[in-house]
Amino acid sequence: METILPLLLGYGNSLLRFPVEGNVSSLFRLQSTLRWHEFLAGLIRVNKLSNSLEFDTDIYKFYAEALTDVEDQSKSYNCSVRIKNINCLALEILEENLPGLNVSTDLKENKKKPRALRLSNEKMKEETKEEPTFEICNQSKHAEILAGIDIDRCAESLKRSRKTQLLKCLETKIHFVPIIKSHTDPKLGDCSYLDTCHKLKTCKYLHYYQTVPTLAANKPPPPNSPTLEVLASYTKGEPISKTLCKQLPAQWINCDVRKLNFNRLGKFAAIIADPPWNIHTNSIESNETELLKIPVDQIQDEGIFLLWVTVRSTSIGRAWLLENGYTVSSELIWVKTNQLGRNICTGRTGHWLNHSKEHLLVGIKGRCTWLQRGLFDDIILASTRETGRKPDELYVMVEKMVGEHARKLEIFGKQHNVRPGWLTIGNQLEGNNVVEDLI
Amino acid sequence: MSKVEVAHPTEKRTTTNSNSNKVSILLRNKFKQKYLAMNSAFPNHYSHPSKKSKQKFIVNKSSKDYFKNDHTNQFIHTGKRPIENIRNIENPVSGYPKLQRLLSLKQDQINKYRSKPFGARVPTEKMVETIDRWVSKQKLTFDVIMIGGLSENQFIYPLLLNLQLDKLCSKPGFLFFWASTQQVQQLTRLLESSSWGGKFRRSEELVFLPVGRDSKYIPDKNDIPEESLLQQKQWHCWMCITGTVRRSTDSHLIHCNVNTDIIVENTLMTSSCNNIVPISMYELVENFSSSTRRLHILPASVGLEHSLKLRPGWVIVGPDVLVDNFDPSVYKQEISSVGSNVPSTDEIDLLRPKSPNRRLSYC
Ligand SMILES: [Zn+2]
Ligand SMILES: [Zn+2]
Repeated sequence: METILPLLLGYGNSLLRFPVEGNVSSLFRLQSTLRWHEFLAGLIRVNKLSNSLEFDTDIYKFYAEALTDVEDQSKSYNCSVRIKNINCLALEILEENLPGLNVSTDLKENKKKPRALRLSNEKMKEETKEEPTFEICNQSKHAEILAGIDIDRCAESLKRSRKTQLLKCLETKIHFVPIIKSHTDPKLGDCSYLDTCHKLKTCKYLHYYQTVPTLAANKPPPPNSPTLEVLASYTKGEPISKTLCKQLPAQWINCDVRKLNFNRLGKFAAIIADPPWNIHTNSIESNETELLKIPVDQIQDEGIFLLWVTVRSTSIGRAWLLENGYTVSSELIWVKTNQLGRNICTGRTGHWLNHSKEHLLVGIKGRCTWLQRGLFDDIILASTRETGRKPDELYVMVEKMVGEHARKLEIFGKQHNVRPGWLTIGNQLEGNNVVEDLI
Repeated sequence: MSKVEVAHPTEKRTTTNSNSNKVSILLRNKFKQKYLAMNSAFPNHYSHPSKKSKQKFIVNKSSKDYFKNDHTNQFIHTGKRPIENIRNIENPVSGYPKLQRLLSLKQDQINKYRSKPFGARVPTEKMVETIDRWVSKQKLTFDVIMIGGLSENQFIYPLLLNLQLDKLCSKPGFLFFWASTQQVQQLTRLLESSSWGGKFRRSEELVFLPVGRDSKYIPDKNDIPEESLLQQKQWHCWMCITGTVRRSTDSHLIHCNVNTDIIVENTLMTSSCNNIVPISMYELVENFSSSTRRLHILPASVGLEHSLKLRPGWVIVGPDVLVDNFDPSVYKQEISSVGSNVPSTDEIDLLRPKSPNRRLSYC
């Protein structure tokens, strides 16, 4: 039924998933059960259906309510922010009905975001230390010139030859300089493995050095406060423990996951698993994987379960999550990049097609009112490292969603996965390190 | 901005609201100052005079020293979406001249051996019946069938359940099935429960990623993510195989590892063309299977946001098809003159990625 509804309502109005009569009062009666955008969509539809005069007055009423509502949530936010947070559809209505309303570009950019989400984003920004990022230079001429000179003394030779523009570019952008050895054949193009190539001494394809503006090279810690304290000016539904509890140090237990007594571990807000999928046939029945034996109900009452899957295991992973009471609401894609910041496109990495990404199923159990939703896109863009190693960006995202203070577990983790705030278990860890009173 | 604030009567009420409001504004400003002080270290360092004499960049030669941008951190602070940082959006194979050459040779060859574009205008409610007729009366089969596109409304479960895809698709044959993240669960069920589903094996999962805030391809744009944890910025396409095909021995039927399992929206192309499936998706399918008998089923209207263009080498069926020129007998004639497969050439065979001989391929 769900899928046909938008059809019935006509494609252009696909966001409207309920019937609306031709008057505003019927809509206001529904107000308490509707979501914001639905209410607004209804308002637009009513306007189109009835073309009535009462619409205008109701718009003012609605506008006032919108402002109060936003203010309740933002408390200390100033007026302009409040208006920014008004839903895009309200803006469309307002633009139509209030001639002279000057919608700034900033407003237009933000109008797609719901109000609560905008506040969450602002808050996340306040709580996160900014890392420097640099653009990558796209001028092939720059790489060419740099390839032709002694890279270790390039600054001097560039100054001598008065190539000030290139020099300036080097100070602000990342460059990739082709390494031309006697065995290199530049016509062949880039090596599929680039900086991870094991045959650098004989490989005929192109490999690259990197130049980076100095700031990135010796990133100093801020002089006074080494870490940014978590103190945003308002909260948005987080548990009080966030301010009271300290983040736990990295903990890990070397164990056979199949034999571990999960009852002793306690409960976790977030669990990541990167199971060793041993799947050689397509039949679900014959698949035996260690993951399926984990008594997940013993370690999570409500929270998120993030499961790395492959093309062959995605259906099994999905079914397993559903069986254990999760809904799979999102799928996160890790878009793999190479040294040059390009999405990997070669290397016979998959059976039928090359694989340039990996999939992470996102399962949610319980209501999880404390969860920060909608903060991120369902995409991680990160370069590949050792075989099988997943990007660290995922941890940051999870920490923002469930909180740094929350208990988090990684199953089938390796030593490079241990991290403050996380308990890592697996059979390839170096001993144990547990500070909590667990076992 | 100020214009609105002054002009609007409701504004007064909210600004002169409560004292607690003023207190929190004060607190907030205090926090802001503290925050700025803490973060000032890095911008100051950047233009520090003592560093003036030194070279302002360094050369990294070892991969363990490489600096990598943290696109998640960047997103938090600037709002720039991670996907926008990919450097090969406009030319996915840049840096690989051999692959580039292979792709252009293959497209040349595909263009030489293709039927003219065919369209069949069939309303949603007549779709099942039409396919039934094609199967039983006209004995039509296709080697490649694509279903749906970048639009939620194309996925109509009861309709898809009743399509005789197993009979319409020859063996070996390939199915490319589009769905949004929310619909993947239903797609799984469809493949497990429908009469035709059991005959298709899920073999690859393709993903299409829209680029840019205003992309026409962002799924369910106006939906607030109340149920989902992440903002949806992806489309899924399952590639399913029926019958037996081996990548090591069947190079007359398929060429493997030419394309990847990701299509990133090429904004250069989509700014002028908002087709219901990206053109690069058609190309991917054509590069993979050499078959000339290709069908694209669009069960529902494509709507106002997207357009639907016919494509040479394809039969496109759906309610919004403009040119209704499909006639099964004419089509059969056309295919018999074109040939049922695009032949390869020596150079293509030389350039295409091949599977190592020893590793036995599995299906
Ligand atoms: Zn440059
Ligand atoms: Zn190499």
